[in-house]
Amino acid sequence: MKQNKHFISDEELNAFLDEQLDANERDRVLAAINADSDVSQRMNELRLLRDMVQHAYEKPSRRENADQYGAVVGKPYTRWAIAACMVLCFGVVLGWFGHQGISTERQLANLSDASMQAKMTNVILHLTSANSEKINATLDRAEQMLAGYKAEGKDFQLEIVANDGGLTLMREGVSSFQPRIKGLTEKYDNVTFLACAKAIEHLQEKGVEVELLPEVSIAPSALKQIIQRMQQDWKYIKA
Amino acid sequence: MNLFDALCKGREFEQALAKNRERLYRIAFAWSHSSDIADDLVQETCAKALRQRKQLRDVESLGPWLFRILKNTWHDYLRCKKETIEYDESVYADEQTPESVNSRYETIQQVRHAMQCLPIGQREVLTLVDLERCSYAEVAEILEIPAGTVMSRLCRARRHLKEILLDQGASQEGGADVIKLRSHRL
Repeated sequence: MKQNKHFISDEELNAFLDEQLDANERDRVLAAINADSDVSQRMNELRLLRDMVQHAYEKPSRRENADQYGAVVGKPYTRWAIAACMVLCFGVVLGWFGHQGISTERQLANLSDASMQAKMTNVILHLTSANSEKINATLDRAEQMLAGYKAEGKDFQLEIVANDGGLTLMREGVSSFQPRIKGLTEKYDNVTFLACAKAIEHLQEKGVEVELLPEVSIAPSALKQIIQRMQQDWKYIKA
Repeated sequence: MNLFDALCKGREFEQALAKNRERLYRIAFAWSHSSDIADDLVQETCAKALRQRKQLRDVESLGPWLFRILKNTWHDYLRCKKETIEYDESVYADEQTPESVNSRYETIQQVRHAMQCLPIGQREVLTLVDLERCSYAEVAEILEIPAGTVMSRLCRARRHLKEILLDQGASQEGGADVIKLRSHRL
């Protein structure tokens, strides 16, 4: 049987894609790609497949601080110790579903220290608790961060986004923190308070009337807001 | 070689090793699909490399040498686990997570899931070629298999990966990126 002169095997196409062919073989495959739409289509699929694989592992998930070179050469390395350092990086996942358990004070204290350093990181604070002590601590630390950056004259944005019990902070007639929120927004133009629209809807479905403080804006979804900010390299803190 | 030269050379090796950690991690993650396992593999690989550095004749071949150690470490791990790796299924669970609401992450998860379905040998070849841009000869050297096996394994891996992705695309919403495999023109 006479073989199609443009017949190119899958192995040859793969080798062409991976630049493993010599000049003659490359010319032959190129000619086939130009002459035969089927070959061209197969080539395009291979390219797309390779792009998808590269894209999928461009930023592989990792444990924060796991790449410290010192861990290799000396000290015994403990999984739990390193896992504890993942809080900031993976806090959004843990925080969203856990809704408790991550030490806000510690994270915020670290960030507060960081605010004194040259490194600048915008922050999104996620509040889900109605606990007044937790809210107070959150506002205290937020204020420390804002003051720290302002003293250094650096650009810094802080968003405090609330859903679930955290809405308590932002509801008119319910929140006992209105003076503090008002004071913060008047003093700093780089702080924004956001209430989750879905959480509001959820409350309204239960027959609860929800009115927000005048200083509070609405985010369509706290979840999406957090993801968007993280994609913009903001630091996520679960309060 | 005097003591000073030996110290400089040791320092140079450690710096070169540190520079390769990201590359090693990416491949280890693409093989294991677990950040914990990948981290352990890289740690172990670097520790072995430090212990065995005298075996490296040419610094130019550090990359392939490290990947071969990584491959051996990975295979040791698989043997310990009797080739049944306990993957963190939550990474691929269908429940909504902050990541999964974003289509970019959906595509990434689909591809990672499809990669996880590939036989280990195919996954190893494909990742070294696609992520590390290794030549077939380098892959053959790293994995200690004939170059012909690299070619056939790679070919099967891509064919298999495409089939899995198309199946996923057909059975899930949001598989638009995958469906492009049928019609995409570059």
